[in-house]
Amino acid sequence: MNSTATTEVSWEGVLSKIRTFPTLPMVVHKITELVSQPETSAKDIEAVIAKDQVLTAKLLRLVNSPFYGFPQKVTTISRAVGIIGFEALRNLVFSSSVINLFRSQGSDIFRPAEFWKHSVGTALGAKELARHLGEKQVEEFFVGGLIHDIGKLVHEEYFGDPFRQACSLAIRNDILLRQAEQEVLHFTHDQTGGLLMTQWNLPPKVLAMVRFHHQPAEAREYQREAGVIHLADILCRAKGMGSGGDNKIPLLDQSTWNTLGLTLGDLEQVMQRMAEHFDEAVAFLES
Amino acid sequence: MGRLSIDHVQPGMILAKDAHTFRKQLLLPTGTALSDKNIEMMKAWGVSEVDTEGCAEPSLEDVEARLREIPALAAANVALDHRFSDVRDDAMMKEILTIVKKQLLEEHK
Repeated sequence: MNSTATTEVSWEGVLSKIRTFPTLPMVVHKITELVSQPETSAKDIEAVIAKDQVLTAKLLRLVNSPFYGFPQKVTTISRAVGIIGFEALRNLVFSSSVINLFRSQGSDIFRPAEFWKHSVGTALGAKELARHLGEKQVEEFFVGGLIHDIGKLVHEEYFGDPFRQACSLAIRNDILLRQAEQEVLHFTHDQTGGLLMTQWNLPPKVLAMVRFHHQPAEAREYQREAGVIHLADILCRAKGMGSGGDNKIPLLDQSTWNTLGLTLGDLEQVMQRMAEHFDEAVAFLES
Repeated sequence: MGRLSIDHVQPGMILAKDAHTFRKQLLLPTGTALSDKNIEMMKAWGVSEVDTEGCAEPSLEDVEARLREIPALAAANVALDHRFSDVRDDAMMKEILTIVKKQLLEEHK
């Protein structure tokens, strides 16, 4: 933690600090690049991932976990790619890479373990909602849910004192952390998260999921994507999975709900699936 | 209230449409007030969903009344009410709260 009394708490401060936030591992960029090239084969992907033994082991464990539920045992990366597809693999690589960022020390007031659970719960909800919406790339929604609050980690890392003040304020006044951030820091985690997505060069869809998860209607052509994360966040809080730093639930944006065209029956099923897979997902992603 | 998964059907609910076996044979006619035995029979015949009449879907108030009878769920219920306290007046948020409380009851079973 490097926050001192002289820490500049301003949006300009965020802009300069964010450049020093951990970058994504090279393997994520390499895989992203390969996936975008039509001539890439499963073997090409395997060659890149095989250089990282920890990642290889982790991916195989994930693919073989009941969480993904494939009937036969998958023993090679190229086979894994063949089963789950390039996009899903890229998102798995991404998920396993960002987990390390969640291992911050935290404090009594901002608890990383609870925050991690909130992120995983939202990721599960987003993936299930995407399934109900007939989306093809459901893994992308999982990733968006997993990192939707990543701006809070940036705040914790670089604006420790004022951020913890905001966390205390959220609990004391019983308000959303976002509102408390606005009062103390004058900027919010969705703004900071959006900035980090730009810095990490992530696709506009993922940027929109992070930047607009509190105001999905402002995401324009990506309202659907941001809306899924917005709704998943609400469902995750409703189910009491972890904590994003406050004890409140944001109001569902009505225009987004209308846009998504889901039914209450869909929500019921999604929440049930979230509960069924929650412990499993937390354990597998942490292992 | 429309289609309900067989797992969520409760005794006393009224069938709004005939229930059929997987071979399309009539099992129970429209208007049947379902008993435990009926529900077991439908499950045995592979019925996965049924149409039930309006009053069948429990309201938030019904669910809360049932929750009050289970002391083990009191703390979870209070925590939920607290989390939803600012948004409970919103129609959609109320629906979400109803689903969560219903699931709380089901998970307890």
